[in-house]
Amino acid sequence: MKETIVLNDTLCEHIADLAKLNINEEEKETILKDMNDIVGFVSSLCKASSNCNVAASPVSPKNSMREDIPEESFPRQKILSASSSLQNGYITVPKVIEA
Amino acid sequence: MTDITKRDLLSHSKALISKEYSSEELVRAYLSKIESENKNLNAFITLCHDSAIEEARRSDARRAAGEQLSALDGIPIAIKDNICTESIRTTCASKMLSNYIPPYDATVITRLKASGIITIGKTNMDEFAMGSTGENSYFGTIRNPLDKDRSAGGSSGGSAAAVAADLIPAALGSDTGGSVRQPASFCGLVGMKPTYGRVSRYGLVAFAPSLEQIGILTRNVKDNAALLNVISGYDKRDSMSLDVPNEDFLPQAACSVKDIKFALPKELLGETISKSIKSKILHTANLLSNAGAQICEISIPSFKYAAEAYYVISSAEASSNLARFDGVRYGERSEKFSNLDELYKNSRTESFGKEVKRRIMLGTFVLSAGYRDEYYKRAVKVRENIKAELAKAFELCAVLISPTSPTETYSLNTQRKSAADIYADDACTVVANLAGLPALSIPCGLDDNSMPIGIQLIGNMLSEKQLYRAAEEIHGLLEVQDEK
Repeated sequence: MKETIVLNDTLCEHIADLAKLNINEEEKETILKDMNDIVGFVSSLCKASSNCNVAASPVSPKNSMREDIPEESFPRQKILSASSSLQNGYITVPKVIEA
Repeated sequence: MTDITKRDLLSHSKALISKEYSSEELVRAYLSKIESENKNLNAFITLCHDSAIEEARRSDARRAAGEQLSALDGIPIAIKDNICTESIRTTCASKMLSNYIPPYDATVITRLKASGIITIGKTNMDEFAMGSTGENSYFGTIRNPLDKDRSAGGSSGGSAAAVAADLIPAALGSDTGGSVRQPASFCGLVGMKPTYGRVSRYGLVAFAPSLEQIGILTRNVKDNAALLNVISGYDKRDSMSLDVPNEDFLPQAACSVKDIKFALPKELLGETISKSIKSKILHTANLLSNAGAQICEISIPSFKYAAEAYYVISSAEASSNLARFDGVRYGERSEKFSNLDELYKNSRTESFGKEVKRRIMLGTFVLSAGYRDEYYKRAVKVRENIKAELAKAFELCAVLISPTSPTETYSLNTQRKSAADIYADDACTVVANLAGLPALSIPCGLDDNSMPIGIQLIGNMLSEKQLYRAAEEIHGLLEVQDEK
């Protein structure tokens, strides 16, 4: 493992794009410094070794399916009321597929 | 009537049963105090004035009608503002959810209501539970009632400040990496993070689902146990909920420390721990030893990487869980966009605070192509190591002892440590979250600034009752020592 990854402008912009965040020019230097400090901090993980299997949870995951019995759903209006842009019972967004 | 707001949860229970005062009188006393003092502490985001009085009146009516009531019926508590409360604003201290009103109650709220416990308000916190200082809230900084120029800790800082200031006898928080225990330590309270799966996470706004548990902040151990009795238990709506028999956590039988084997992990008593804190922890260990307890030092080598592993895993999970906040179904939506990508980016950029964006960026990075194996997968392997080493340790002892925080209570408005340095301060608490184990912080003395120090007790899976009993014994030994 590389001991220190240095995040540069290009990588930072790529990460921000994946995270769906904007970074303006004024913020970029501070964000880069912060990110490099933090990545430097976690990079000491490279010194840890392990032969254990990878496990993502402290308890063994199990299927928790409920019985296939219809239950009452939330009233539609209650769920929709949380959105700020409604039209005829739908949530509106800009065009998803551009021509 | 003397100031009833200074009484604890179980004292209120006795007083309501004996009709010394009514639930409405009790709720009004707390509301009045909160309205007067919250501006100095910023512990609350939302106060449920009318609904709390209404619920108090219903409790009094039930009592007058001679109905069978739970021991805590009619007592108000506060709820951290990342726990969904139907029809009551739930903001996670973020601009993103500043106007969000959940259409449902979290399971813990349903259980509190079934016991007649009243939600008096929603407490301030670090945004989306990301932070350890109470300075990362869209609604302003939280202050420690014991010294208003100091932090109440985080991320459950508002809950801790409210209980420590006697604005409420108890509060719920959430603990992903220490966010109940560290504020408890900073404010001189008892803070419990239960075993992973003990308390349902349904309705807890997700930050890092494999790490977090709803926890409890109180002034003493018995109150804490009484509340855990109410909120714990299997819930089919939480896929990781443990289907285990319900327990009564109240420490009823007397317990001797001679019956409990304690251990001090040396990695949590190293150079990064401040001298005054280390000395209080070792002093407490000496008291235990003099009282006949068996104490040994052990080594858990993987603890060295615990904070790093925690920040990689929690940030990775945060980046995934906060992807739902995109301005579409709920939360703030930017007014400036010309396409879908701009809607997402502008909504998120405008409405997330600095610390949240930092963690999302870190999480996205450690999961991204080319870096996932080196960071995320390695962190998960370290987590597995920690679990295995702790399992071995619990063959030798029943309770691990450590400081809750390696540093004294943070000052506000001074030169801040870097983000990475603050992350490193979570090294003592994150180990319990990584392994899914229960952990409790109780006060064990004062530091050189006369601020409280917390001692942390970590137990094996499902050993909350033993932790409460050990904590009561330690509290007893410390009280005897203080009287001398």
